Amino acid sequence: MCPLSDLGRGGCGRVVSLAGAPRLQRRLMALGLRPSAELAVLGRAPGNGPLELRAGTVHLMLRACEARDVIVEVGDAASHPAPARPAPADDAHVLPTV
Amino acid sequence: MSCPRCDANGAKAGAKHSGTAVVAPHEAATTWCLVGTPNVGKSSLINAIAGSQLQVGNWSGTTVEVASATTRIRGTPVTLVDLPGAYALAGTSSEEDVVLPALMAHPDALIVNVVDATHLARDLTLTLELTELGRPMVVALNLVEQAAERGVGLAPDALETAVGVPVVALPDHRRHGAGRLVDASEGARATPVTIPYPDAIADAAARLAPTVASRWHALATLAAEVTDAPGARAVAATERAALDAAGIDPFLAIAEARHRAAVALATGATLERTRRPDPSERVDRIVLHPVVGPLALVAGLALTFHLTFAVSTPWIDYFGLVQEVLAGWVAALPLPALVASFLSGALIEGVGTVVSFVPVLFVLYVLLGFLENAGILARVAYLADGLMRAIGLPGRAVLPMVLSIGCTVPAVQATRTLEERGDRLRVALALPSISCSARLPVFVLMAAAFVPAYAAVVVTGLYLLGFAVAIASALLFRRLLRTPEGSGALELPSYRWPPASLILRLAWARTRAFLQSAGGPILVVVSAIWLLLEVTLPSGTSLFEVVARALAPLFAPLGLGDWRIVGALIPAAVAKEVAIGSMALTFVGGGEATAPLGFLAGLGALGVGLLEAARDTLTSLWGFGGGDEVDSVLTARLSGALTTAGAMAFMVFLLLYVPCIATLAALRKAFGARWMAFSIVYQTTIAYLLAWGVYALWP
Repeated sequence: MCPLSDLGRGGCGRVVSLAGAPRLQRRLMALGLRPSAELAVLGRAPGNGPLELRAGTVHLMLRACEARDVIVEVGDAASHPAPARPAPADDAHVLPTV
Repeated sequence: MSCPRCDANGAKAGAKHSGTAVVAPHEAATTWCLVGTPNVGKSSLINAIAGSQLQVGNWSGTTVEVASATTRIRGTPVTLVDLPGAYALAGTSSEEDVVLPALMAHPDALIVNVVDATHLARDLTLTLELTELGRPMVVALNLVEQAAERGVGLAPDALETAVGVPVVALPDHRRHGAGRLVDASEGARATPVTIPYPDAIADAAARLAPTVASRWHALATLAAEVTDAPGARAVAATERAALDAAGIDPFLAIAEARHRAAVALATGATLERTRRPDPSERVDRIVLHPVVGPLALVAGLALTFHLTFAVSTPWIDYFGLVQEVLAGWVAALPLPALVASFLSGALIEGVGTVVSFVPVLFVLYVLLGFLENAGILARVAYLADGLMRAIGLPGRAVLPMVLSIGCTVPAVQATRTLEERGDRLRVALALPSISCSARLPVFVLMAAAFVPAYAAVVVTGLYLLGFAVAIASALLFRRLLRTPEGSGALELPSYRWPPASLILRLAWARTRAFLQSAGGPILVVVSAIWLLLEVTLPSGTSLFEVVARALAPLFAPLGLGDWRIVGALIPAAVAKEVAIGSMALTFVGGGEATAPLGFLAGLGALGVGLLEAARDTLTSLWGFGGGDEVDSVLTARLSGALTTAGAMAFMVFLLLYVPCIATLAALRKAFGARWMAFSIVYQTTIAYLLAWGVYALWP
C-alpha cells in the first residue's frame, strides 16, 4: 500500500482509503475515487503538475498533494482497468465494500 | 490588439452593478430545475427547448452564474433553470454549493435530472440522491449515442421501472428529445425507490426525518454533509454519537449503499456489448503528452488571445467611427454649444464606451463557451496547473492572466471559469497590475521621449513589473483572504463539438448581462469627466485645472508636481491611454472642434467603414495591423516638464494605479462594491509606493 502520489505513469491499483479534508474526500468519492475503486495513472503533467487518472469510467486529474491523501494497494498489469475489456456496466467491476 | 475601449478616440469608462439573479421565475410559470453532473449537456437541452430566451445572471448573493429561459410549453409558461453541474447534492465547490439551495428555493419546481449515459453508474448516484428529496422528477438520459459508440447499449424502460420516475432518452438531435421530455414531465412523480442502507443508518434517518426537510436531509445530517437544521441539532448529535459508538462511519456507509444501488441500476439498464475505449483518451495521449502538451498549451493560449483581440478590433474601430459620424451630425445641428457638447462629449462618448466592449466580450464569450463545452478548458487546467501552482494559483488562471495582456475587462470576465470563489477573487484582484494594451501607447510615448535609446528595455521592464506585482498580489491575497482553494480533482470530460447556436446565444446573453450592469456607471463617469473638462470658472481657468493643481502637491514626492501631468491621470482612470490625449491638450493645446458632417456623407462613411471592418475581421485572422504613431511636439514639451526619473515614476504609477473604470465595473459585477473599492485603494497604494521608490532610486 502507498499513497497514490507515489504511483508512476502507467501504474495502477485499488483505492484502500481516503484521508484529508472532508470536502475533498466527498469530491473524490463523487468523482469515482472511492474505496475499492480501481484506478490507473495515465500520465503526469510537466512541472510537478497533476496526475492524469482513470477511475472506473471517469477520466480525471488530481494534484500530487491531493493524491497523497488517497491510499492505494498497488496492482499488477492484469488488474489494470484496460479500456478495451468487456464490462457489463460502467463501474460494475468495482466490488464495493463498506 | 486592443482593449475594447482603447483604440478609438477619447475617454471611456465602465462601472457595473453587482450581479443580479435572473432566475426569479416568470409569473405563474412552472419552474423546471435542470440538475446533473458537469458537462452532461444541460445547457444544450435548455438551448434546444428555449434557446432564444436564454439569460444569464448570478445566483443571488454568489458569483455563480445560472442560466435560465422562460418559454411556453403546450401553452403553459415554463421557466427552465440551468443549475451548475454537480456530482453530489452536498456541494464540493462554490458552484456546486448553489444547487441544493436553489432546489430548496423552488419547492414547487419539477426536477429534470440530466444523466450522462457514458457514466451511468456515477450519474445515477446523483439521481438516487435527488429521489430522496421526495420531489417530482424526470430523468433525461443524454449522450446515449456516444454511449452506443463506446459499446454500451441502454434500456431506458428498464431504468424507468427500476427508478420509478419517467426516463427519457434524449437523441443527439435534442429538439426531438425536448418534445419527449415535455410528454414525460406530465408523468413526473416522486419515486418509490428505497436504497438498502444498513439498518442502523436507516433507523437513525427515520428518527431524524420529522425534524428536517426530506429523507436526503436526514441522511446528509447523519453524514455531517450539511449543517444541522435548528430543530434537528439534539437528535442529530445523539444519532451520530450512537453510530460512532457502533463503529459506523455514516458518510462512508451512506455513500457506499448509494453507489451499490446505482451500480445495480446501471447494470440493469445496460445491454451487454463489447466496450470500446473513449476516443478522447487517444487524443489525450498526444495533447497531454509531457512535451507536446505544453507546446499545445502555449499555441492554444496564443490563438485564443489573438482571436479575442484581433477579431474584435475592427469592430471596436468601427464603433469609434460611428461615434465620430454621430458627433459630426450633432455638430451640424443648430443646437446651443453646451447641448451639442453634452451630446457628443458625454452621451455619445459614454454610450460609445459601453458599446465598444461588445465586440471583445462577445468574441471572448464565444471562445470561452467553446473551450468550456468542448472539454478543452479542463486540459488547460491540467497542463498549466504545475506552473500556476508555483505562484499560488490554479491551472485555469492561466487564461485570464494571458488575456489581461490584451485587456483587463475580458480577463476579469474569464475568471468565471474558476470553480472556487476564493480563487476567482484572488485572480481578479491580481489582474489589474498586468499591463494591458491601453497602457502600451503611453509607455511607448514616454519611453521614446525620455529614454529613446532604451525604450524597448523600459517598456519590457514595465510589463515584467506588472506581472511581478500581479504574482506577488496573488500570493499575498492567498495569505490574507484564507478563502478555500479550489480542488485539483477535476474531470477531464470527453471532447465534444458543442452546438454553435448554444455558444452564440450564451455569449450574447453574457455580453448583454455585462452591458446591463456596466452601462449606467460608465455613462455616469464619462459624463462626470465631461463636466470637469467643460466647466470654466469665472476666473477663466477650467474646473479640470483647479482640481489637477489641487492634487499636484500630493504627487510632488514622485517627481510629478506639474498639474498637467497629474491632470492626465484623472481622465486616464476612465481608460489609461486617454492620458496621451489629455497631455496633448494641456501641453500642446488646440483640441479640434468636431467638424459638422452632412447626413448623406455620414451614411456613406458608415457604409464604407462597415465593409472595411468586415474585411479587416477576415485579414485579422492572419495578423495584426500597424503600430502607434508618436507625437513629436508632445514628446518635446513633455521632456521640459518632467525629469527622466519623474517620467519613470509616472509610467509605474500609470501601470499600477486605479484600474480603468470598465475593469472596476467588471470587479463590481463579479464580487460587489466592497471588493471594487478594495481594488482601488490597493492598486493606488501599491502604485504610489512603487512610483516613489522608482523616483527616489533612479540614478
